[in-house]
Amino acid sequence: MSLSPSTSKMLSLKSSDGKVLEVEEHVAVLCETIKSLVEDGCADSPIPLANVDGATLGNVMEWCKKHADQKASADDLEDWDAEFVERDQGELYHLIMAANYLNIKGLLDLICQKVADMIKGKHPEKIREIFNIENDFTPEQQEQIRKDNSWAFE
Amino acid sequence: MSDFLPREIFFEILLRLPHKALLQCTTVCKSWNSMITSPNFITTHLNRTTLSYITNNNTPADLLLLRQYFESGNKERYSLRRDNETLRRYARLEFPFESQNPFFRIVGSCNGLLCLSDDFGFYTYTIILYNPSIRKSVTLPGPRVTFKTHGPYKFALGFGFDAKHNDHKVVRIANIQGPVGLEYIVPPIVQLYSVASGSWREIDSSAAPYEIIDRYWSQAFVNGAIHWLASDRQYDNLILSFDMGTEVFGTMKLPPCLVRSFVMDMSIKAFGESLLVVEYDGALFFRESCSIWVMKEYGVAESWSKRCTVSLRGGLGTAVALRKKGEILMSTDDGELVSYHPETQQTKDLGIHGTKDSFYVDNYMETLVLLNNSARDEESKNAD
Repeated sequence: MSLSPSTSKMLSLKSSDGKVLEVEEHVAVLCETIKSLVEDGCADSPIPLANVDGATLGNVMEWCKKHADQKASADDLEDWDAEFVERDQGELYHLIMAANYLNIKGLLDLICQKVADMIKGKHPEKIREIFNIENDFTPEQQEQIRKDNSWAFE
Repeated sequence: MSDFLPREIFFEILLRLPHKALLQCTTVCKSWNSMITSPNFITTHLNRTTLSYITNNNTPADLLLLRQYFESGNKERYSLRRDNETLRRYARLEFPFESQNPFFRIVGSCNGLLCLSDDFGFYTYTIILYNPSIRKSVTLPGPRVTFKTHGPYKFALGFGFDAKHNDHKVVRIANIQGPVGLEYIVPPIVQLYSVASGSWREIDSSAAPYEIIDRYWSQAFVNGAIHWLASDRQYDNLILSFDMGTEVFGTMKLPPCLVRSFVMDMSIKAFGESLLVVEYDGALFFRESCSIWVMKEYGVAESWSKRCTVSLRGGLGTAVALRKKGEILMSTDDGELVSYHPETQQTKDLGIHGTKDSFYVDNYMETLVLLNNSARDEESKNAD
């Protein structure tokens, strides 16, 4: 069963920084977290989303709106998605956290793939830099692991 | 992306990297290293690869593994090929092992692992599981049944995956020669090696009063079970199966004309989710033709049908593999691998050389299987 957009109910979503966004229900329920609230009859208005800021929520809902559109073809969505993820690292970070919190599998898949493509072929040092990861290996351990798979670094 | 991402999201991101990039990522930090080499990650990565292999999206799903052997340099060469017009090379594979025979028998391949046995010619007890994508291997301990312990015997191996216990297993079936000579004792002695346990154990084989047809024995892993060509006490041919999960033997019927006929040579192969049998006909040691029988529906004896018969008079030798589009990869007497089209009966040269009986071609996927195994070896080494 699909709800026609014109008859769809509106939901109010409230971001962590207090911005309220009006979204059609059939769009918002792409977020599993919101969907279960709606199904349980707990969708008080507005729904507080403590972990998502207003700008990110806007981006997430833009994605949901596109993907709730039944007329969009698979090719069309693919092209649209490719453009959607052309963002700086900060925005991608907020999107990935929001997709995880709101439990939107499609969006999480999309951004994880984007980040994976970003680090593919990068030197470990560069990867640490991207994610702000500290190298906690001793030089000896580092050397040993490298040696075990030395061919992968050629 | 300077803030901290939760572990489960890193898990999702890393899952989407190819195996070589993942090996590099094991040096990023300790938590990435332990995540990538964890059984959970390796299994999830494997399931993703298997799924994309089936649905044929975004990863190379048409990879074939090819083994060639060159008599001149006494060298085995392994490579990955695309299943396209020319079998274009996708990657060379490192092969660090040396056999005492000219080349290894490739028992089978499953989830990116090759099972190698050094028994072509004279028997050794060397069995190796090798993942060429990540260059990790395990050499199995020696089996219990040997010439020294039991005198003359014949054996066959099977290799596959037990999805229920997430474990790769090797089965060794040994028929000991009886006191009279010639006759072999049934049931055979069956031993099973599992990668998780790292050792052999004996299993009850009372349900299998059969002997393996041993001339160039072959096996096929399909549908969670290993399949061999065997014969019963009346010398009727059949398919002997061994379920990797339940560890129970079973049998399946062959096409009626292959049951009683004196079969010069047959081999069994996986065919999608089912089986195929290649039957060679001829007189004495001269093969005149080969026929390919396909079991259209797995386990349904009535669904056997003859797909084609190939004349071997024009210099073709062995059916090596059936390709996706129906062509057959065949070796020639001159040591070439060619693609044969059953309908047009035309052969196409692929520019792939080797020796006549050494070609091996099978579907292949790149996985991380055995990555944690070597990590475990490493730990025990460090502990010593």
